[in-house]
Amino acid sequence: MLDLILLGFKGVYHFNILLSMCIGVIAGIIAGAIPGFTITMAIVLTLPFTFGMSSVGGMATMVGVYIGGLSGGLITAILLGIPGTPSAVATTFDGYPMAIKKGKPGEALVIGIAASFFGSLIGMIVLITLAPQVANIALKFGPWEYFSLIAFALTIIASITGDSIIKGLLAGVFGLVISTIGIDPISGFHRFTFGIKSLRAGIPFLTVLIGIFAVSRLFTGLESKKEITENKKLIVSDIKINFFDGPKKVLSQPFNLIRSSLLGVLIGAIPGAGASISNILAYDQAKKGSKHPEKFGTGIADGIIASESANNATAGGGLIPMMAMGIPGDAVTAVMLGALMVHGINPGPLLITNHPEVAGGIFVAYFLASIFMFFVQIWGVKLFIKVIYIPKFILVPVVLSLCVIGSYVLNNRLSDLYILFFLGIVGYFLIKNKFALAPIILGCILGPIAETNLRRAMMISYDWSLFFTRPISLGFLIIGVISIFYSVWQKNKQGHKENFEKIK
Amino acid sequence: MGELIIAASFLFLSIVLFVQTGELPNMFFGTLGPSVFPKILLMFMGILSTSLIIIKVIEFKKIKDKKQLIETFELSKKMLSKYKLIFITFLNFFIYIFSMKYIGFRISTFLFLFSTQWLIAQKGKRNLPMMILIAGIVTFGSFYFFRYYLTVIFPGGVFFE
Repeated sequence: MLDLILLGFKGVYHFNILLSMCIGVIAGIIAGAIPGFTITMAIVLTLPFTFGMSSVGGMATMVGVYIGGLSGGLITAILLGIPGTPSAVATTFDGYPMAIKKGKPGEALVIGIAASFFGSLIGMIVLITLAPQVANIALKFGPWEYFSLIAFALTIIASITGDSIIKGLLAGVFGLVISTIGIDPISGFHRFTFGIKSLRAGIPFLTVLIGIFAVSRLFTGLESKKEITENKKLIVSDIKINFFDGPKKVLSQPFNLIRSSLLGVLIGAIPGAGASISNILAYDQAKKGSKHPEKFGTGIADGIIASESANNATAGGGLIPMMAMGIPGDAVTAVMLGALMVHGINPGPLLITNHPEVAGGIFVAYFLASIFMFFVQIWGVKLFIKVIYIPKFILVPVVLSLCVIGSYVLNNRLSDLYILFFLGIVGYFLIKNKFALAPIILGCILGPIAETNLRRAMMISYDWSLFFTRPISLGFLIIGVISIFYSVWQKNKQGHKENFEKIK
Repeated sequence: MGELIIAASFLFLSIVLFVQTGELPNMFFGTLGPSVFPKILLMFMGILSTSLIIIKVIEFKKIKDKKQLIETFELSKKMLSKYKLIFITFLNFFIYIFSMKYIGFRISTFLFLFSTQWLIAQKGKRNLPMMILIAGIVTFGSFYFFRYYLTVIFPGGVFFE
């Protein structure tokens, strides 16, 4: 293993490769920060640039974009409450309140950046040391295991429902229903299209994210006429940035950090899952494992640490099946596999044996990209924070237009913009009536995976007991049931505590 | 009141879509058809919406003081004027999306950015040159970046087809 890493250092340690990696990280951060501009898009755009590079250089650049993109989403998530990427949805739960309600945007940003960095490192360590073992576990996943994993992930809805479980579950089911619109992927039947051609392709998940989260959030920002007309900054107190606070706070919660990162790695290693699930799952587990779960959502460091460390660790997990088995963990690693093939390298189980310089280069690039990401974002914090000084009458229309561009660019369809508008209105009304929005996003992400795997499982065998007799599947279902009961118990306990304190 | 309307809307949606699933087969080549999963979801949605409606109706009935109810409706009327800016901005947003097909991305985006800034900014503080500059930079900057660097084809409208 040490030989591999030394070989990797030798391959990557050239000025032009380091420069292209750094540019890749910056490009990834920018792409991740803009809602609608996905990491996958950024990687796809990077691909042509890598043709003229060596295989090590090309892969190093793409790893840089990947790491930068996963972390970039935290900027808008914390400062505007709008996740730049689906992997930063859970960061908004505590990042935005810490920035705006508590008036500590600098602290929120440095905590998020530090958590991303340490999450990346943990992901890298697991990638280097346990890639074949983790890949073997991931490959044992059949459609029963996938469905049970998604069922477990759906139980998270019970803990991110806000004050009302019924409203949260309703939002979650609404998200699941949205995911069924369009052509059924297995049978080809049109579902809920009402004869509208543009609905046949379904409702893109990113359009739902931008509409429900971003557009609605921007409109709630217009409610206080006084703040708009007086040109008030979002935060009126002095903003203090202590760059050492971030790493200190993250390292003061080692259990949260390691648990969230390992969750991120595991989710990333499962083909088809990804950072969009891992950040919410990690947040949920951090909340359940906390001594003060009632503080989650009010702007505490724990939530930011869980979300950001998990989403960056997912990169390490996503590279595991790619490096160990030649199977892409997600769309990003699928593009990376394509890049390897363009350079004449056959990805597969023998990648590490036959091309140790490429494998070592990827490991080292991961480490160096994490360091670049950390320093670029830390230096950029003072610039990012200037966003909150932009008056609302400029910020709202500019961000709205970027949302429109982001939604259009996904599929080059004008109909997506009407969907964006409609969901923006829906999201706004839901926020006003205290419905949690995160369950809708969760439902949209998980719905297609749940249904497809359920039907695949039934196609292979109509025996329902397989969900309970296959050990990994049973394990996820048991954890899911425990998760629901624990969430309800936690909520009741919190309710009793509040009542007790009122009586006192 | 808003929660009641939303719950009723969800209930209506679940009924309409459930009826729609009648046109889809339950079985498909001996396995689960395209209607099964949506039916399960829509039943859940119907049950949850109904539960929420019942809870909210019970809460309303507990408001014994009719004066409080009247005050709630008076408050709703005041809220309409409070949300005037949001309503206008939503309308402006819709006009932007609708007009993009006809007048093209560049003109519609420029007009949207300028008009929204104008609508939201305070009357005495509308800096016309700055608003035009911001609208221009964002519109043309994003157009040229996406069009020539990322090769995204935006709608040209009747003027630029």
